[in-house]
Amino acid sequence: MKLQFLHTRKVRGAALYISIIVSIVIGILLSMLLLISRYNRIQLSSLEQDAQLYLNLESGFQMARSDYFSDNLNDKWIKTGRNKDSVKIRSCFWGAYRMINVTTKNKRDLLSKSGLFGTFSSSDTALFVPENARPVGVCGKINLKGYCYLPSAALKPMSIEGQNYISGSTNQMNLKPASAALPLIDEIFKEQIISLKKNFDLGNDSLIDNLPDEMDRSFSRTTVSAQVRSGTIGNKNLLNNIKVISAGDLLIDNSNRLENILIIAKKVKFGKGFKGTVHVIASDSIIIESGCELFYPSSLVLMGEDDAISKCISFVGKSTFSGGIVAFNDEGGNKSSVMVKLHPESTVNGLVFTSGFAQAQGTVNGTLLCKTLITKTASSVYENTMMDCEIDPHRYAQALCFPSIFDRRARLVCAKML
Amino acid sequence: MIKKKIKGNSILEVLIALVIMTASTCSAIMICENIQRSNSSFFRLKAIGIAEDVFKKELIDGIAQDKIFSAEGFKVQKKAFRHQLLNDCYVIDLKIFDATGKLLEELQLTKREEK
Repeated sequence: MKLQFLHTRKVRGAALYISIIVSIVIGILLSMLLLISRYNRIQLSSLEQDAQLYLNLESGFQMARSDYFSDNLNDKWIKTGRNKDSVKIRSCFWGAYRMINVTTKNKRDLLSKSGLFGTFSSSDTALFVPENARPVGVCGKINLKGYCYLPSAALKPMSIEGQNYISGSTNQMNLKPASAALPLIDEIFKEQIISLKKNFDLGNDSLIDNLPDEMDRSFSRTTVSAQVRSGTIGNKNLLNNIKVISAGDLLIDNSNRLENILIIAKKVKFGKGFKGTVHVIASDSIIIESGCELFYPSSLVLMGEDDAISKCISFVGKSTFSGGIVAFNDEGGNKSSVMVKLHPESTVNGLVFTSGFAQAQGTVNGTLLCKTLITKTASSVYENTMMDCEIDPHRYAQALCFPSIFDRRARLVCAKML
Repeated sequence: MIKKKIKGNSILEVLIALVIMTASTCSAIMICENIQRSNSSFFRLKAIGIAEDVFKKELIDGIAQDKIFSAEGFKVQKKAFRHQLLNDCYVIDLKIFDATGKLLEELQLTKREEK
């Protein structure tokens, strides 16, 4: 009975059913293949666009270094590359270094990258003192390596308070006649420092009343400018694009964690044991207490305004500084009332420039340029004299980058990507 | 029992089935070919890698001049032209072709001219 039933049932249309089922299976498989293929294409296209975006970022940094890059192009969208990509370059001084932020976008993505830029460090110039027809008195242990541009009267060993001149065992100085004047500071640098000191940048700054305890602000966004009163800044954790502005005196103690912060005040003092990367612009003085470590690339800029009072960047004890120290007068290099005072136990890795006096002591792994050398002891002041000082421009020449303060057309190199 | 009629497929059904199967097979072949062609994505990826290498070298010691050379079996065409806004910068346009001469990638970089 069973067999009979099998043979008598209708099997009409089976070919059609089977072909439809097979077609559906093939269709499903093909749609999966199509989906994978489409996904693959989208990924590839996105990879291509990303590759071009990264190239646009690099292009932006190259364009920012151009001699023709002017204020007209600063912070404006510029068409570049293919596919209607655009690049926006923001370039401004952040302390003594130049901050360049490049933002690029296409129809899908937006990328941003920032860096601090300076110029190549001098690997051969140790010391520059302009011609003043008087010899530079040397006392204590002096160790100079590389070229020393000094007045034609050169060096004269002398004795200060019972201490005689001792030439360092590795003294490899190469004396050269100095020109009559110090290298001039670029006017654009001066203008930008004055502008930073005097005004808020209304286009790029976000003003806040109170300094937050903790903040990390990207350089691709507007700068957070916090106006603070005179006093102590403590227990703050501040990173990157933040400007701290005060009309008075600030004490930064060692409870702070500050990275790439710009501090603008009349007088700034770093308390004992402070560690961080900071950029300071002061009009009166900058004091670095003992045990401080200011990491690379930090910068200290002292711009004197009133010539009646002496201004000073002073290292009080054993401290380490890496970056650039610049002290000059608003009026130019002629009215020398600014001074950089190094400590016998301090170490400066980088550039020291002062349009006035420099008390050259301790270790300078870089270049020192000053109008007049000075040595202060407990009892007297000796002009045109240096004591217990080691200057070695070679040691970190490959790793360091100096602030670009002399020649705006000097090739910019990256000090640090932020 | 054996004499009983067994009804099979009509000619129309078989024809429709044949058409469906042919159409699906043809589309399958076309799609597979298409996907196979898009396997050039591997070569395009390789082309991006080559372009990045060329640009890296260009940033270190590049000279603003046109050049055609081959790299890893690809033909690389470099064209350099002055930037419209910045006179000391030039734009490098890099095109990478496969062995058949098909354009795989085109990328651009602006570079400041070192004096």
